[in-house]
Amino acid sequence: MRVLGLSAFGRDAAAALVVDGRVVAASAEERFTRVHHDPAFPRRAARWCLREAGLQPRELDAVVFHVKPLRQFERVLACQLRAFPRSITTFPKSLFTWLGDRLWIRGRIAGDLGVPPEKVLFCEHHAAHAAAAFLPSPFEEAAVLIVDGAGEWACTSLWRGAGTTLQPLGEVHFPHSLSLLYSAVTEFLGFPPGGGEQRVMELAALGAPRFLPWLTELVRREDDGSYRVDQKPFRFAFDGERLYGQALCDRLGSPRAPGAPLRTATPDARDADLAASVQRLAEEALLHLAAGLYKRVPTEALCFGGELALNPRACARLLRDGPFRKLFIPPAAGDDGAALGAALWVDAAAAGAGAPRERPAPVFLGEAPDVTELGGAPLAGERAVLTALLEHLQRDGMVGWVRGRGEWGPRSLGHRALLADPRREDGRARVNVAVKRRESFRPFSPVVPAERAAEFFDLPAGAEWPLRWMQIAVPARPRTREMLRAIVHIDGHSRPQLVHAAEDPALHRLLVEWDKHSGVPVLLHTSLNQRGDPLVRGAEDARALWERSGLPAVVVEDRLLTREPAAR
Amino acid sequence: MNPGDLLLRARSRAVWADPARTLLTLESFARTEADGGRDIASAARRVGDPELRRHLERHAGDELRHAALFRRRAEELRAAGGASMAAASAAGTDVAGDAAYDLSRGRPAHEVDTHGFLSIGLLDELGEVPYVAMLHVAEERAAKLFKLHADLTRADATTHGIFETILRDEHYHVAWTRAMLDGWRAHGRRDEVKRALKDARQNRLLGAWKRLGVRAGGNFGRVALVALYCTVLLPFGLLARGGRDKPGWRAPRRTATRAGDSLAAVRTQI
Repeated sequence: MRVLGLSAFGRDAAAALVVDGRVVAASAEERFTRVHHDPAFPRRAARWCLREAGLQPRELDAVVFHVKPLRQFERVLACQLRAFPRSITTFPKSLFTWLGDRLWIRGRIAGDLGVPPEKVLFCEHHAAHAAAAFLPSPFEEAAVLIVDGAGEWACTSLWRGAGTTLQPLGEVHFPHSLSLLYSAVTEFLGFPPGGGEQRVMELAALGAPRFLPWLTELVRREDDGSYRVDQKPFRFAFDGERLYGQALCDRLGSPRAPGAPLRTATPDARDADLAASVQRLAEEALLHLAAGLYKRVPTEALCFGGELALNPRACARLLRDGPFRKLFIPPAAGDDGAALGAALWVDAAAAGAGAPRERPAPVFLGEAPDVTELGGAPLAGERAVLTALLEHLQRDGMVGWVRGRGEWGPRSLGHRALLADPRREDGRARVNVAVKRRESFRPFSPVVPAERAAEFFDLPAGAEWPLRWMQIAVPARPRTREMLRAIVHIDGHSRPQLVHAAEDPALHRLLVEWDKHSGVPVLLHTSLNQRGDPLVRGAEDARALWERSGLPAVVVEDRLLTREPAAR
Repeated sequence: MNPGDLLLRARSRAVWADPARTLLTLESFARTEADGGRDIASAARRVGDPELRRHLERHAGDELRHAALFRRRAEELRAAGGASMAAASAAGTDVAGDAAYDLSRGRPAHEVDTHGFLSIGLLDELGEVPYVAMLHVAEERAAKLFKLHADLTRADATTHGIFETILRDEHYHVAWTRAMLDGWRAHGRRDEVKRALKDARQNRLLGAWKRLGVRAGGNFGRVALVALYCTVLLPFGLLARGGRDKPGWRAPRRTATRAGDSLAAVRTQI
């Protein structure tokens, strides 16, 4: 069966193609439009998926959208009415969007892709997330927890997964959304909601959770494992543009304007303290949910999806203090992953319980770079590529590396990577000045061979998959904190990527060679992009980034772009 | 000065008088220039004529430099004037959604692509002559706009200096595109150049007309929806106010994925 999954109009639009249970291609729309977190209809990503598989739209058996639009519209309308008359300004905006476009999504998909309308299907949003979290996981049986902004009505849902079957157990409905509460605080702190949450998590390390008692009053945990969110300080129930309300300002003071200096040091560490408080609140709410889920599904494995699964500190806490012993988080845990989940859901439903599945699904599902765009002479073989990378790491302290198919999900996992020497005292600042332009408090992550990782980090058991994909934060060992400051956050944690020789021999080899040169098999590793941009897509993007940034060199497959030709 | 120019001048003056909108304007310019630079750099790699490539490369470099100048100035102003931004936000001024701030194109930022109408890879679609014609029309317009902004920012020497610098580059951009078009004219492509310039100007006018239509329709629709809200929905709204959402676990409506049984469920939108 050939199923195309689509997600759009949420936070990250994407398309994913599943053929007979195997994920053939998947990409976020942002990689093509270059608009970070682009929520627009994923026309380009969908067409690329079909091109990649050599399929015509008419050859698809189904196109699945990641949400039930009419049920979502029902929720929007109900919440607008409940907020009467405060919703007088938001009602026309919401309705205008819905009446103009979203209600007619079946026709839009059919028209845009050229498929008959009857082939367009609609999967519930949380079902799509659950399928994305469980069906590609390595577990035959698992509990599944989804904590997301809002789909149709569900904000949190619990599932039992077995084989290729997912059984829903219960859901907490809108507006009781932990993820939107976190986003509201993100917005209050001057970061963009739906993209700035990771910065709040990183900022949390600089503060003390002194607002936690008040925030805990807002999120009441019930004995049955559920929770309720007090809506008074928030507006997200009816306003998608301003998520917090006046009551939050009355309690916490004026919000931080985007770009204004962060208040992180005594006597006024308000921003860092608020970040620490909301982070702790999210972690404790997740532990509460996990405990309730374990009572219903007493198994050792947990699959965790939705927006909050993109929070590595919360994921680490879930594994450390929660009842489950093993954790799996899909590489695209947010709305982009729902495109793949929707396709997998329909494929699994059609194929039946005994159908074979690809477990775990591959993570490099995007477009491969076309080096003919770059011209020039290729480097002579894999050894020459490795030599060029090592030369630039030694001489310039950093190098870009673009190879193979692009990553599925928001994080670079080595195929669209900026690698740097983590030993340099100024390593973080240099990467920031040359390319990333991130806030100075934000840490960078390390990449390390799996077999050497325990020398540098305190690795928890059961985190085999999250550690492959940089999904949990772990304590750095004292020696690492001393030697490799560029990759250790102020709280002593790192978010390492463990590389297995069998899975990524090229990156593994580079780390081994780097060890011979530097004495440590660890590199600073971050996404190859600039602040506000999506991950680079291919050769053309890599060159554009290299041209406009201070990146000394970038290797694209077997081509080297360097500012000093003599270096070759 | 025609009424359109007068209106633009008045609107621009209001924007430069407001610190929050000044900042957003500079950021918008930075984005637009960066997009332009990227597109033109991409075009430069695709053209065969070495002279055209040389001009495009320099042009792309200028655009990226302009983007950096605007971005840096915005960062300076943001660092210096965070309080005013906070005040604007607290007062409920929706500065981020203010379509007026994008002075260069008169369009909100999410609609803006390169120079208001170009898009990545357009050179492949159109060919060299229409591409350069479009650049020429866009740069003429940009030069005029940047002159206006330079005039209106005299009180802020740094921002004024940026516009003066950029204006010099814009004159070069207009000059090289004109020279290329003149060269093609002289080599027997007069009709092609004429048609390309006409199309570029028409596309610009057509684009403006379409945007006007969309905005007018949008505004009318919003007014109608507010009227609906205050009349037809009023009793329902009053009734719904009393209704409270129920927290706690809810029973899910769906069935598990098993062969056949949930395919029927995915056929409906509700």
